[in-house]
Amino acid sequence: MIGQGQKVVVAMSGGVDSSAAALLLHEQGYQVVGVSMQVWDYRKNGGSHSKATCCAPADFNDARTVADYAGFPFYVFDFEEEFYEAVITPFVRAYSHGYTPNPCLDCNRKVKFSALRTRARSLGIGLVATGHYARILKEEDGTLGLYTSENNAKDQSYFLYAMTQEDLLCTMFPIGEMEKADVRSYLRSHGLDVANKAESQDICFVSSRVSEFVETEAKRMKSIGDLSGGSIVSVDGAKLGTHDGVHQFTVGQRKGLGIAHSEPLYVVNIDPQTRDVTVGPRSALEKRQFSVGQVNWISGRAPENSFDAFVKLRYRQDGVLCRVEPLADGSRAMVTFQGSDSSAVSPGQAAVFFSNSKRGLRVLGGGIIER
Amino acid sequence: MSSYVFCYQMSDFVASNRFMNHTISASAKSRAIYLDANAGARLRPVARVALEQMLHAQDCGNPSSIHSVGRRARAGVSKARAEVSHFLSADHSRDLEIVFTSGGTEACNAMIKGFLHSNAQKSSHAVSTAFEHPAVSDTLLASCNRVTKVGANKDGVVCPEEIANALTPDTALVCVMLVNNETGVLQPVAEVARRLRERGFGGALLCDATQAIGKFKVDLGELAACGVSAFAISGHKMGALQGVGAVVLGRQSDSCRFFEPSQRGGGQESGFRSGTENVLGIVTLGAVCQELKTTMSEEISRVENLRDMFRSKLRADFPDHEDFEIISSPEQSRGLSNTLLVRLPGIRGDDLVIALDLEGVCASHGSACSSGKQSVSPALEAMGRSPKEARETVRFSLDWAATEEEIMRASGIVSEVVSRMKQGQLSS
Repeated sequence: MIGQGQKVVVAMSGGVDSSAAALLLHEQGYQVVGVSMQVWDYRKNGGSHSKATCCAPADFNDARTVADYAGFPFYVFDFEEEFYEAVITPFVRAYSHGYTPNPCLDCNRKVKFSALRTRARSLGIGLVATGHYARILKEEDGTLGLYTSENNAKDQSYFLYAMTQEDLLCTMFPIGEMEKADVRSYLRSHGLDVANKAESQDICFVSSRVSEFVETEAKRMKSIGDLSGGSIVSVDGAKLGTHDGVHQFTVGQRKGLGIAHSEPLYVVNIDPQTRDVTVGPRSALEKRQFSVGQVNWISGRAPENSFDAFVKLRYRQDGVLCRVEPLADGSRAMVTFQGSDSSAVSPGQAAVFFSNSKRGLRVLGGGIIER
Repeated sequence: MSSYVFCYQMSDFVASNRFMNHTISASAKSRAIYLDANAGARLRPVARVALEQMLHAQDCGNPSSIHSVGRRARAGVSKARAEVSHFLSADHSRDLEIVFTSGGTEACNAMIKGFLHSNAQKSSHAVSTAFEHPAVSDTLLASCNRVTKVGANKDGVVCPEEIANALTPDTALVCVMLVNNETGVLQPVAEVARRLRERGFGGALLCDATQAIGKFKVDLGELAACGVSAFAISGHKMGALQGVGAVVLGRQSDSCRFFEPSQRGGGQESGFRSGTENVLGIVTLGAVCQELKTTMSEEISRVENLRDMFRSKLRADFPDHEDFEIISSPEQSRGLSNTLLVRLPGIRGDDLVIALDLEGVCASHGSACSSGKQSVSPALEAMGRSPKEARETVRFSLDWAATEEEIMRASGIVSEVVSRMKQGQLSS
């Protein structure tokens, strides 16, 4: 058997992908320990179980059913504290400072590939597997590379750009090569109902509107930021109206501004200090250049020189060809669109750099878009 | 199809190239070592025999039926009822009314709701310890307007005077468990009853005795005579089948008159709990009680010796109190002598329980809720322990089937797992 009895913790959400990942490893001869991460208590925090897309008892039961079917142990790990500190708090803080954060990035980096691994180690288990669609391949120089899934429609490497060499060494993506339809039919061939489960889409811990969630949680946290209202101003400085808080806006947003205007208006800037939300025409949104911070390089070494890369600014987006210039020892980078290209960029979201190789698209690294 | 094949090949690559530094743990696991009696004891042979006899004789008719099959089922239930009451009280068995339920939780719910009904006009306030099982604490929260919770001293014992001081003119219920499930510590229920009488308390004193019965020498008839209105007991905690328990009402305190059935229908259980009886469960509970009447004293001492041996072995492996704190380990006159609650500073109890399970040792941390998440124990909070300290605890509780060989093996595994977790090292 491939696994040769090696122990591996599989993060199981109760969804299709992680269920298949766990079952595959089990069938390959690994000693699988299934783990669901309780990150948010809907009973305690309000919100509805029925709308919840994670941590609902039904999800744990789906995961447990797969474990019972295969006969490997399954546990629920309590990560509520870690999650609150590593994901919820920065999420609320970012919104209150006019950013549009992506909590899945923090969850992967600080919870799944950090806190979970620490807990796995305390059980004497060094390997952690997840149901992500991405590939980890060994490079010629001995380092590990992160590659997109060949199953492009589902590729999730965008969310994994912050992985380090150590992370990659301890991580497996068992279904990283597979097509979604094959993942479902694999589960179906085992007679498991989870095969037909719907995809989860939204932010797992938000069961209401994001702005409501931010308001509720900000009340609980002290000195988190300012959720007070401010003015909506046009790019030429004219005051067009008022708003109830910068956390209700995202750069690039068009709907819900509550302003009648002759041409479509977009949010082009959010100033957390003055609480001004600047709106303007689509053309005002387009940027040719932007900087990213908190940059991670998958290889563990920042490139010395500028390089060309496909840059993704959102999860479901094709990469756009850019010039990437590492700054400040590689902890930041300047990204410039090639030729006359430009795009809307949302501060707080991740920009992830990819390059073509004969093994497919390879993730070089990425960072958080700065204002 | 093709993609699976590819996937297997990929994993082949992955396994051969990346992970060879992790050695394979070939811990051939034999049967699990069961040290979680307070969650539920293993089925006793005498219960199995009673069950098999009932099944073999096809006596599982409806005890309410007039015909012979029904009568035989009823006879089984009646015999069990007598066995249970004789076990619960040597001299006052006739003073106890046994109302069979589906288990300890139903018994707790039924006694709380049953006595609130009769106090309907003043059902606004209840007093309880701060460390009741959720079957009591959640039911009180849902049924009363106000609940006053009284904490414990550092040894986990509630103060009867504080309970009495918490009474208000509209207090309808006082709930004090007999022994705590986490610490195993006996609570001064008789003393509470005395204080309540002194204060002229007119409501009901209810006692969740699920953890005590079968593991602690107590006479419920005597407690009822002291003024306890009702007790809840559970079958599987003492080695009978799951799905059976009872409300035990004190006839002397006239509590039967005030107890309202929470479930109505065919009028079974003297009208106190309608619904066709769980005949199979009930006969196992009767059989266990019948056996324990003569064997319990010896069993408690034997289990206490094993528990003490386990404690000494762990103490020897972790001589430093900074590494290993014994929070509770009652002697048999003070509570459950099968229970050992310890704290391992720096180690999460919930992780330790999982790590031990992977090595074949069953223990527990806090109370496992049905989601599988292990929550922090209210008993430790009530003793003034910080949430962090409470999180660092693990409970071992031995049942009737525990053996010296198991205990020795378990202590070795615990020491090994704890050392490994302390070092944060990968297993080899």
